[in-house]
Amino acid sequence: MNIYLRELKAHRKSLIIWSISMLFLVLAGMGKYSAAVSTQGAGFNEILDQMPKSIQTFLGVGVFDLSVAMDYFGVLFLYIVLVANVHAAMLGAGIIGKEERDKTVEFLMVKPVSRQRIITSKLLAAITIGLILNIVTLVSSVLILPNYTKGQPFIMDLLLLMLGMFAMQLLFITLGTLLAAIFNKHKLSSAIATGVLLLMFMIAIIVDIAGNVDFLRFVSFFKYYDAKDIMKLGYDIAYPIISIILLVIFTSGTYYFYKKRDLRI
Amino acid sequence: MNIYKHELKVNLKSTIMWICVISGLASLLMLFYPILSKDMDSFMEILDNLPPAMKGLIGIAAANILTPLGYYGFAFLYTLLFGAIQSMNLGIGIVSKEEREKTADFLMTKPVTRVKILTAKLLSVLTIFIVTNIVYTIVTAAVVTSMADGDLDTGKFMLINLSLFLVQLIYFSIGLVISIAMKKIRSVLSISVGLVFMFFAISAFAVKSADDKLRFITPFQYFKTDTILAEGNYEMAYVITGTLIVIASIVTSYILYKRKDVHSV
Repeated sequence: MNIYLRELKAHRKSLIIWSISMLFLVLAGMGKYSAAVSTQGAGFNEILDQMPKSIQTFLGVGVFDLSVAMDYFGVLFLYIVLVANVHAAMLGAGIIGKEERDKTVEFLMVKPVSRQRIITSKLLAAITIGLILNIVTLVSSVLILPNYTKGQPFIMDLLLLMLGMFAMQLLFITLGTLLAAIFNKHKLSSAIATGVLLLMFMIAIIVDIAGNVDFLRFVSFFKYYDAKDIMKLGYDIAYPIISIILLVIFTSGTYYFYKKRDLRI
Repeated sequence: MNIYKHELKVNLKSTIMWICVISGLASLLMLFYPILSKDMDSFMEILDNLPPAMKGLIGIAAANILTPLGYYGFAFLYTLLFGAIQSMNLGIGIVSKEEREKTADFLMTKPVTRVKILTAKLLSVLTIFIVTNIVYTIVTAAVVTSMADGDLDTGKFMLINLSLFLVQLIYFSIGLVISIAMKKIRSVLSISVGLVFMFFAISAFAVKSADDKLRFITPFQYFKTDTILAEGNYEMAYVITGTLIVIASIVTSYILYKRKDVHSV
């Protein structure tokens, strides 16, 4: 419990900064919507549906816009997820690696707690922090979206999206802890975590461009919970199952490797 | 001179890695150009049936895609993203690492002034950027030329590529001044990746109109490839802003670093 509280306190400042950035992102992102719609009006969805996915990716969201606020939010969602996942990967790798980086690992290890308990507390702390950022995003969206949706219901879609985002956050957090549990060089584990994240982001972009490489979707966490699919069809049951399997692997791997790894003092 | 050489040596491996990532990624994205141009042909038919106003809006952006250089401009967005992370890492890390790795007192007791230390470090970073950009330009020139069938505007191509160097300088100087202004930096990656992705997310939503003031916030928007492709030059206001940011950050860094408390423990 002490470790858990201590981690929450240690991450307070960075969490505040991330939360403010997130609020700003939702605010600025949706701010663009009003300007776009008033000039262009309806009819874009039909064009957009006919348009090949690769062209949509190429043109980006900047050139023209969707007439339904939630669809627009779905486009913004990719960037919200990107920011949340960067936070999650850094958090996961950092929360374990920082003891060695800050030379506090000896102090921690001589305390009468097992390594498993340390990992449990740290994982719980990381999940809590991820959840707080998720809730901040949810609340900012709930406050900001009604200004644009013109009374259309959006809460269900939003909750589904945020749940998907939380699943991705968990995947990146546990991936980060796994890497930090395997490698005892903090720089290396966070570099690999970032590398994997960037690679997955690029794969998500390539899937959008190429379209026909659907098997690549399984490689990139970003594509597990795609905003458009979720809002139209709900979850594709395959991805929650894969997520759970991966989470179990990453988490048990974290315990397994950290238990026997040499500490770097 | 010793510090300069030492920095080059220390950063050799990561520089090679970044060069491979940036050039490889741009080349990889270029490989999708044939797929995209095929999609584009069928999309052009849809486009012909649209009302003229809407056609104009989409058509201008879409016309770019038909040329290899236009598509390269799109792929270049991701080059910039990764180039920005590289430069932000260097900016935040190059001075602060001495304290983090407890080598600051070793360096400070050498018979060189702090101004000289900082100058040597800056020059080594400049060298790294120049090498990165030269290799990148050679690689992408080969790829783009092979796709262009001799129909390539070399001037515009070079302008686009030069903007990588300029954006890197801006991000580097921002990172440098942040690292010197902050008391202690524990993890370079989490700050640099977090900042760059925030800028990237803002940029993705700041493109709505060319005269949006939000464009000044994010250096990703300073050298728009659309403008370069259309007009063959940079927008003066943003060149000036960029230059001012670089000069102000570097000067502030010198002033702050000269009187900074450097902790040796």
